[in-house]
Amino acid sequence: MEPRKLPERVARPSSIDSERQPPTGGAVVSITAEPKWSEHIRRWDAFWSLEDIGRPLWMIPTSPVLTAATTGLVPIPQLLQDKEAQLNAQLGILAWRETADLGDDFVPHLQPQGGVTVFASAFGCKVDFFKHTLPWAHPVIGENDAPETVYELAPPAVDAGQLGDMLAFTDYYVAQTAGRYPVALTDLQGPLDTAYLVWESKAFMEAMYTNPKEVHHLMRLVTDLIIRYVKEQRARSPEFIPCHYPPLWIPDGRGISISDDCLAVIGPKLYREFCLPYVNELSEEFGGVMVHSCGNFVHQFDNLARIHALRGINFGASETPFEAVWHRFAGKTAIIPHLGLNKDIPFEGNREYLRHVLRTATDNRGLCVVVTPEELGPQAANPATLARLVEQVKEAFADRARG
Amino acid sequence: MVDLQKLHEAILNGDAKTAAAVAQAALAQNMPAIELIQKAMIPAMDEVGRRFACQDYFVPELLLSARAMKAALEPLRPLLAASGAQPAGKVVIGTVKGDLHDIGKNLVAALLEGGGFEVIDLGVDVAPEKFVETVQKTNANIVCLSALLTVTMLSMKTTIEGLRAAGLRERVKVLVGGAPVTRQFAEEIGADGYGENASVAVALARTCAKLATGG
Repeated sequence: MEPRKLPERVARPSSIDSERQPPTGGAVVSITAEPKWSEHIRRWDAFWSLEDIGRPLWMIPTSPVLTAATTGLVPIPQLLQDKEAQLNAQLGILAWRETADLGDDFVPHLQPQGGVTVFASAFGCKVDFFKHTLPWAHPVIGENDAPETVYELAPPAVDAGQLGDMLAFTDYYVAQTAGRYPVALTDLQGPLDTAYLVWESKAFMEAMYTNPKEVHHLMRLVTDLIIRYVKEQRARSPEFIPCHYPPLWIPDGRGISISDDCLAVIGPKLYREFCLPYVNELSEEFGGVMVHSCGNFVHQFDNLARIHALRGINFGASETPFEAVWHRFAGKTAIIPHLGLNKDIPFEGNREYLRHVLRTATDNRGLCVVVTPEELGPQAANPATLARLVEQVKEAFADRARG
Repeated sequence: MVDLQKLHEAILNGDAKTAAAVAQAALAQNMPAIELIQKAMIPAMDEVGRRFACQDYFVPELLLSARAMKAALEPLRPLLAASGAQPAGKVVIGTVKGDLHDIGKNLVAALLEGGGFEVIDLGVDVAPEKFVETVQKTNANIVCLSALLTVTMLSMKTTIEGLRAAGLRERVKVLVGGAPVTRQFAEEIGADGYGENASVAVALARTCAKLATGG
């Protein structure tokens, strides 16, 4: 089955634009109006339309907040909870990135970031913050709770839990920068990923068999919340990028990104029953979806093809074989590989990964190669590390051009 | 006469209620507990592991089967204890310090339990000292360490060093696993085995237990 086509772009509600406030003072112009970045954006438009722009897109995904965290510039708990610290860290990274001029297709933007827990927290999940890693949500429905406990959950307010912070961060960013930077969607774990943060994962997965009605009830609540939140954040952002990871440019109205790591964890039948209908709802609402998943999800290809307007797939090429994704989806949707966390398919570093991807991909259309530093910690954002990475990308592109 | 095939199928299908009922009925007919385990339950869990490995089963199916296995084991436990039957091995398992991811660890724990091991699950964010202390207290012969983050993998090494410093390293086999962990890494830190998935981890634990008992 082929992915169903949606209109090229879903209209942004006109009320959003009419309510938008002009930047304070009127002197600040969005970076997207600058020739360099508007050229980048034109490339992304062509990319999402699966046009050939003469080369694949590529990106070193310096998600501003995560880079700040990795480099230890700001302690993670502060970075994720203090809007001023988060904004300053992001602006610092953006300025540095602009100076470094890596030559990739990244479009500078800001992103309110609270970790993978933001939607779960709206249901009342207690969130713990840590110095060394991203936050953790404690489920509100525990392992030993009756599945019917799910009916006690009220539909959360759009600003409940960390979501309220993310909206406040958005307002603050827009106000402080006078709308100079577009604002990207906060971390959006998809309906199922969020549901098994709210309901203890083991019990939730068992309930898919024993209590399907209760599972659907939670999926309904989560999906409704996602739709309401995305609309709210979008309404507060003069320029909204509906993408949370990797930090790609998705034109508003051409879909949203979701992390759907459940793809790798559950089988096709359960995905079809408990996830696909809700992902399709998001797709209908926002003009498509770009799906991110870790792990190996080859067994879900048929389900991915059933997603209405699947805009793109982001995955670890060391987890799901790149050639499998390419052969099934090339020319039908955008393909955005990176080197995954899991090393089931071993690559001897970025050089081999790039060569493999660029030799397997027989044309440029809809291909964006994400390249992450092999080093961890502060050296990940070290200029020498990044210069080496850029060199490797150039070599791989040249190698491909030579055939 | 109770049909052991029914017990086998109940575990395969993750039907805890039927699995427990068949086990009860078999005991009522004086069928030896060990026979139930060896002829129906362990083969069923082996088949679950095989189906998981070939992507016929996924995490939810595996969890349900493990739960059915546990339900069937419940009525057998007092009899096994009275007969002096030993578990396949005693395992201390946990996600290492600094890491809070537990789906993989829970899977391995469930499969180990289903495979007849006594499992002491220390949960997540477990400090090396806690592993050491628990091995000392429980006399466990296998330690399973899980990590999902590259930054917490090194805690596996610290834990192994802790076991060595406490004079316990020769007494326990250490198995490691988790998304960023590789066989090479396992060798580098001096682990005894690397499980690339839950069923491999259980097979490794069985080999370790056999080696320990000379079986």
